[in-house]
Amino acid sequence: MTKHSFTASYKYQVRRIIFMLILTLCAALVAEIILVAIANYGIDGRLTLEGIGFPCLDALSGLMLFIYGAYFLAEFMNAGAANGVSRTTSLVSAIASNFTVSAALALFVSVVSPLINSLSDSGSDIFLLEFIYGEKKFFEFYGENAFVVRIRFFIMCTLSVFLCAMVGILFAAAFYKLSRVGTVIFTLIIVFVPAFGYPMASISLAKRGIDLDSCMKKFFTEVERAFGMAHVNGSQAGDFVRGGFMMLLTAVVMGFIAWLIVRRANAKPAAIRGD
Amino acid sequence: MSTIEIKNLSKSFGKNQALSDVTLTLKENCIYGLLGRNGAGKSTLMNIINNRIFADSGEILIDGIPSRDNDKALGKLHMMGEQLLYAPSLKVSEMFKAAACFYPEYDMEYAMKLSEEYKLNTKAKLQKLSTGYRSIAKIINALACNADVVFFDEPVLGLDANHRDMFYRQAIEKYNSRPATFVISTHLIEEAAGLIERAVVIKDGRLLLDEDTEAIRSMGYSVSGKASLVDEFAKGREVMSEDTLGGLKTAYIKGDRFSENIPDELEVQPLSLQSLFIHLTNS
Repeated sequence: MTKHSFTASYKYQVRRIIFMLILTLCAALVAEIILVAIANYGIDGRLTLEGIGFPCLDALSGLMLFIYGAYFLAEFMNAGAANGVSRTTSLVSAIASNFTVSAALALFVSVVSPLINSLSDSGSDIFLLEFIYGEKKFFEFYGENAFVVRIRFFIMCTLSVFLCAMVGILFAAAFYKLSRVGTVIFTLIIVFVPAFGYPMASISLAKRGIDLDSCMKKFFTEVERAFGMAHVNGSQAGDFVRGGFMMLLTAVVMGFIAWLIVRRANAKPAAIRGD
Repeated sequence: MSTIEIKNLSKSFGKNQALSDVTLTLKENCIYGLLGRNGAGKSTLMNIINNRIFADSGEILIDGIPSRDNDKALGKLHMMGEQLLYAPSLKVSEMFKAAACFYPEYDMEYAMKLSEEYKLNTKAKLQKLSTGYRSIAKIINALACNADVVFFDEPVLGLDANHRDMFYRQAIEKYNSRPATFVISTHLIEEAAGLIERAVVIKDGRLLLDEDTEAIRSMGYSVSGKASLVDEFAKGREVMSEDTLGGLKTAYIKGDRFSENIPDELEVQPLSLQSLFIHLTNS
């Protein structure tokens, strides 16, 4: 990897994602405003923005970055292959650009979203991360500096959104490497194994005296504990440091697996309709 | 300036052996013609050199550096392939800008000038272009990138005669103004012959010939005329192939035409690249 190839890939990728991101956010904002106005008009005949808000915008951002991570990876790998950039550099810069966009989106969630929510009567901003790691108001009430609380929320939001992007990148890397037949088989596995495989395995193991449901429950509880999630121990505040570290670690592991997958993957040309 | 050394390269797709133990050196500042019949392995070789696909065995060195997944080596190359590796939703101008990010010596002014000459709409999306104009967009991109080695895989695919002529002229102009190595893979050998300095012929995944075109021309000659006269002249000489049309015949003969005593009734021509190619690759 050279400095020039990394910078070139990174610049190209950020430009591509940011454009789509701005487009999506603007569309979401406009849609929310129109929908709230129409709903209010339907209720009391007045065109107001009462009740406007973006509940769980952090979760929505995670979903968006998951989609972007998955959607753009093939394009980034191909653009790199077309311009003398190695797979490793393309992937590393894709991870870096997704991290940058995650931070930008987290900033939007942390700053813009509370402002929009303040337009409504309640003025509340409901986030999934607050459900998991404790409400900001809770920390402010117990004397923590509001700025520190917000910064912490921003960091956690960046990491969680970045983790979602990495899941998307990992899936996309697998699809990029696989042949057409492999893609079909992999898709069927993703769809059908959880839907049918799990119940079948559960029944089969139950006959041998193994309770798969309780095993899985235990597994997920351990995962939640590892990620420092509040509701596992019943407290109002989660373990931020542990959660942040685990998110970062998981993202790094996913990035490494994605690299193992794509480092010897053939470039897959874009399909053009009519050709 | 870059020299590419290809050592014992092999690649198979399932049971199909696309390349077998190919060893070749592409010297700097030379225009190569990479020739071969359909399925001979030309595109596979180019794709492997450009790190788009991976060889089963063998090694490629660019200025002595292994090229596999190596930005320092790969950054010296550009390939205009048959397939599109940019997002189809990109506009032509966006494709140029993207390439300019990667190639420090990218000449945007030149790209825009060529676009005007070809009447290429730079605001059009790649997916909306015809096959010919998509080829033109990729040709312009390849010529403007100013890479040390530029590969053209079927560059004139879908281009009309005027555009093909423009491409050959611009390739020579570019080569004169900024010497680089051009590797051109094409089936239109006669058209590109004037451009090619050195020919590399591949047959069934194996390297058959790597020779200067001047040397190829002196490898043999063709004699044309009345069939009976040609047959008489060809007796005792090594005939590579023959074409007969009515009472006229052309024989392609190995050897030096200047040392031969050829009857005045027969027309003598130096061996063309295409004739040699047909002779070499006919199974």
